[in-house]
Amino acid sequence: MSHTAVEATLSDTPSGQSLIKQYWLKLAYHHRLAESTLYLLFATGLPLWNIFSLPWVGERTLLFVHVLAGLILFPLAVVPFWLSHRRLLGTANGNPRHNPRKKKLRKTGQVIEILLLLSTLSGVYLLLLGNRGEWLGWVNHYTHLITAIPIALLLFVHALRWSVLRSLFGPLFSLFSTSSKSLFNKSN
Amino acid sequence: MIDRFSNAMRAVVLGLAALSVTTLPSQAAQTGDTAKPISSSSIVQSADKQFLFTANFDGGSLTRTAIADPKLQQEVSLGRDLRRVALSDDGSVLAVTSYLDKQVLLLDPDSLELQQRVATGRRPFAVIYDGHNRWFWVTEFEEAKLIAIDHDGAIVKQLETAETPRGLAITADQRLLVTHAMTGQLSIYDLKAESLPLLKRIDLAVKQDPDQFVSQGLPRLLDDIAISPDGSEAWLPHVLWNFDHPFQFQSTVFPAVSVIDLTPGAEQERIDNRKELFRQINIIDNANRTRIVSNPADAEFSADGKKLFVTLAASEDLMVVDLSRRAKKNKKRSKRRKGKQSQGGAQVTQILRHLPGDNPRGLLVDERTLYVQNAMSQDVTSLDAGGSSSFARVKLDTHPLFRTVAKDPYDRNLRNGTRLFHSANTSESPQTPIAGDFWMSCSSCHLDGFNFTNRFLVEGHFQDKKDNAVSGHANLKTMLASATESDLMRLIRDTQGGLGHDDRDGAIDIDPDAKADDLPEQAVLMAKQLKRFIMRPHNLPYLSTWLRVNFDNPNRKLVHPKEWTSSVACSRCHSDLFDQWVDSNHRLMGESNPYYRVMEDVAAAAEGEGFRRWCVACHSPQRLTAGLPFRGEENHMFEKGGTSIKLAYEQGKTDLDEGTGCLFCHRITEMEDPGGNAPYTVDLKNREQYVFEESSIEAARWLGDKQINAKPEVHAESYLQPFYKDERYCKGCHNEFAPGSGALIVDTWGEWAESSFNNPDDPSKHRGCIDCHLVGDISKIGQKQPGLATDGGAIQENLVTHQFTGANHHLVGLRNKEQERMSLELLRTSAEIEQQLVDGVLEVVVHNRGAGHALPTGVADFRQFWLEVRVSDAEGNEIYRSGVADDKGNLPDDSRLFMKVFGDAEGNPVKLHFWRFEKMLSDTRIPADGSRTERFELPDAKGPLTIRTRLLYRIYPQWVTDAVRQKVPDLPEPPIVELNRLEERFDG
Repeated sequence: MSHTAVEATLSDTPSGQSLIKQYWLKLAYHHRLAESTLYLLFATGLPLWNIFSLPWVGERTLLFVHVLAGLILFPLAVVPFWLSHRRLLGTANGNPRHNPRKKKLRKTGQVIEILLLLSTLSGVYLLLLGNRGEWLGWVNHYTHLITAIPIALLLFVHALRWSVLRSLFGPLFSLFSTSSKSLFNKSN
Repeated sequence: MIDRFSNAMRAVVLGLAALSVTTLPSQAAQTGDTAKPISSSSIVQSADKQFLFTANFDGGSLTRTAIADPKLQQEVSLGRDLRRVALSDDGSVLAVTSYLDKQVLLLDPDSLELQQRVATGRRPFAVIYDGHNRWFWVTEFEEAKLIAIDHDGAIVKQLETAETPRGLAITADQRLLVTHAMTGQLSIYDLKAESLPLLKRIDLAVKQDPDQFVSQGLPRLLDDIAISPDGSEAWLPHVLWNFDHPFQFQSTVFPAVSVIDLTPGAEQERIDNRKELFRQINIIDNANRTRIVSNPADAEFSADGKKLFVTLAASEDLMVVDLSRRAKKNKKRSKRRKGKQSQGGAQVTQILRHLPGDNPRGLLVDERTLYVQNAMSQDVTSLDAGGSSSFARVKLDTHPLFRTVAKDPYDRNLRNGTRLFHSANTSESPQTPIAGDFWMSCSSCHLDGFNFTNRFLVEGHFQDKKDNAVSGHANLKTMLASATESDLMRLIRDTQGGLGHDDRDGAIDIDPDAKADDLPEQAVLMAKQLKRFIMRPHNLPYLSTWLRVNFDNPNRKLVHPKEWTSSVACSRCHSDLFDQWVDSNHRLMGESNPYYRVMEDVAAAAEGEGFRRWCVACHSPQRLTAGLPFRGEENHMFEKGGTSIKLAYEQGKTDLDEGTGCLFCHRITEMEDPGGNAPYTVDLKNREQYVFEESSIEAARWLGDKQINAKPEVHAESYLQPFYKDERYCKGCHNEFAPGSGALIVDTWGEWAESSFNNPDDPSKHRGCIDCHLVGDISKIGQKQPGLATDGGAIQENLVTHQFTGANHHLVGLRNKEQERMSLELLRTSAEIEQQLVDGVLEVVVHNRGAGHALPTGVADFRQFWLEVRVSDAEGNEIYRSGVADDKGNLPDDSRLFMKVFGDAEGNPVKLHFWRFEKMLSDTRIPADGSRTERFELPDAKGPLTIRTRLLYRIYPQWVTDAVRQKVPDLPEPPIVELNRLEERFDG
């Protein structure tokens, strides 16, 4: 999230808002937490796909972490960030603070949003009802699995400049981010 | 001149011969053929003959020993029971079978470093290296399969074979020989063809003789194979089971070595050449008695093929067969021998009595040296073969040459118990011998202890049940259940001739009923040690039953009650199935079944408290495994919908499901088939549980459930086994034999197996147990009945429901009228009646149309299934009646009942003590697909006659209900149910 965006969000905040709202907004700053949560969900969820056939002792741990992260971290870290972020995804029309230079971010953000919506809804379905063998269960099962892969890839591209992964792959990222910068500059 | 010429010619011939000898092996190597025949063994030699490798049986290890200096030894512990070992031709891979752990282990022969653990089917036994295909062949003894494993541990071939494949050998021309231990067969496969075609399966001859003391019987316990160096013959050591008469130790098991002619394309048994006692095995000892030997184990030829050496595992001897004096096949027989059967000329010329080790099994011949591997003393003995002369005698060289196991995993008592089980060495303890005159050990019948091979003992019983239904040990005092040591001493005497039954060698005559203080200490100790072995986890840990629990710790016997997850937990997702089960007889067949409760008490009073285990293993297995006592007061007979277990679950209390709960049936991970008696292994620890799945905290449990929902396939796989649809799964508890005596009390499976309902070749006609008893709609048996197994889940095309609809409509009806209706509906589909009047005789035919087993089956000694006949004359006066119950519910003595009546050895009805069944006094049941005609002679009367015939059914006789009511006064009266009726008028 850019500083401009955060400022914009804060400036829209009405005075005298409740503590919860303040907390909610505070969470909206934590892009690193949101991004990390999504990577965590991806990393713990994808190996549960049957094609990987991990030993059960590993699988049960991953499943537990995945469900727990989905239940706690996702609503606390990803949802506030996502909602506070949404206004940046809109087109120039009707958005006075729209920055026309960030078209790529907007595009990837829009696709991420759609995929994340599908993934979230199917995840909720799997959590509450599960895949019990009926067709709707399978649809949700595969929706959840299949959307996860493009979400992770797009998220990587989308958050490249500010990514939490930068510290992990520093030199590699500087290379990527240079090319990314040039990409953005070109689009400017 | 002539001499010179002949010498020159001789030189040329010898030279050519020498040339052919030196070139043949290389040609064989080029074509990939094995240079010489090989067979599987527990002791093998490295190619350079520097090292011996031994698979150390229940020592659980593999040992590599330098022959020149046995102190240079390396041992690796690999499993619970290693049976056979094989080395690849290039010496790079060593394969060993881990019999109980279902694995083949591949090791580096130099370092004994484990390279691969290859999971196999049940009981992998023999392993042999196939140099032609460059892989190892392995027999899966219980699985009836052959598998091939390559150097990397991949199973590259797998094929079904006949039952119980055991030993393996490969001929020089690439034929694979497989012995079938419990069916007395030899299979021959062609290794050169990729599809491994079966060339021939030879059934070893079954001989019978009116004189029971003549060697005869069913060839059984086949194991290793010895192929003669010229490849012309295979010799198979085994025993003969002669179970067509009551047990008598000198006429029940005979040792034998059968000979197979291996001429390609004409393989057959040379029946007359079989080596048997008192014929070709007839060495007379100093007391002018034939030396009896028992349990031939391994056989090996000398390098020149002139001698065959056989280890005798039970009598602990070495037998030498001299083949050097065999007559040629086409030689004219002398006048003196004309008319006599040829016995092949080969005879046993020496019985080296005794070998110094315990339980000699493995054998390896290297030039003049014989290496004998002793399974129980865990060592190797070297013997000197003494040369190839007919007069040469095998002599002891060194004992022990080396020990195979440094630290025995068994303690002293358990080792002795195991040794005793496998021993028939009368000399070892002359005053208190385990067997009389070296005849037989426990393992002469119970191969490898107590396992699926027990079924072949039951099937090998050929006696008419009317004369003798006992296939095992008779005269037991407590069915081995309570005074076990006393019963063990009794069966050592009565079955094996030990403990003084045969006192010719100085044995003390033991009275098993005497007080322990009056018995020789050694005899009591023997019985205790033997019991230790019998109660090993892989044998009979609960003694009277075959039920087992898979524990990590072999000394653990009991499950903590909390480990038994309540079936209520399953209802959270499988509510329909739970509702069906919770009122069914499969739930309340323990202490809440008043009839069962009384019977369990009767059994315990008669045979001791330990005998309850036999009943409880099927009726309330959770209770048995948790070691909970019989309370005798539980009564949920009238409980609807499982109120009590639901309450216990809500309160977080442990309440073991009565009967068989969800977890019991769905965590049976292994099933043997000894013929019945709960032969299941339950595994509670290795199921794939989700985090918090069984938490006592509601919120955490919710989270656990959600994880199951999210990825349920692991959960489903963890509670389902392919054999749940196998009829033998139900057989485990719906077939029943008496512990120790082996008398087959209930044989529902056998009745079904012989019926037209057992038709696997035509699935449209095949009806297994679940096709009739686990369906939701009885009227649609034979059709697919869709339904839901999981709440909100997919509709299954053909749902296996869990009402367990059977003949006991009465008890299930006390709590669930729908299930009672289903039960009666099923009963009414079973039989049809027809009648005719012929010359004043009423003939009523009862056809068994709908039941895939006899009518009645199960406890057919109690079920009442009979014909009621009432005949009226033209004026309506009743002139004849049969089978009409009196006011108190009792049937007249002359009623025509379809039932079994069990008797004891003296022919008296055993009544409630049905496990004491030794003779079938009568069996008037109607077999599956069959019918039974009853004739009623009617008095003269004025016609037309009105004849009303009814087929009636009552779950228990009145006298049994009366007896039960004394203890359970509120037990409702079981009704008499009409299954079918005919009312017709006949002109008199």
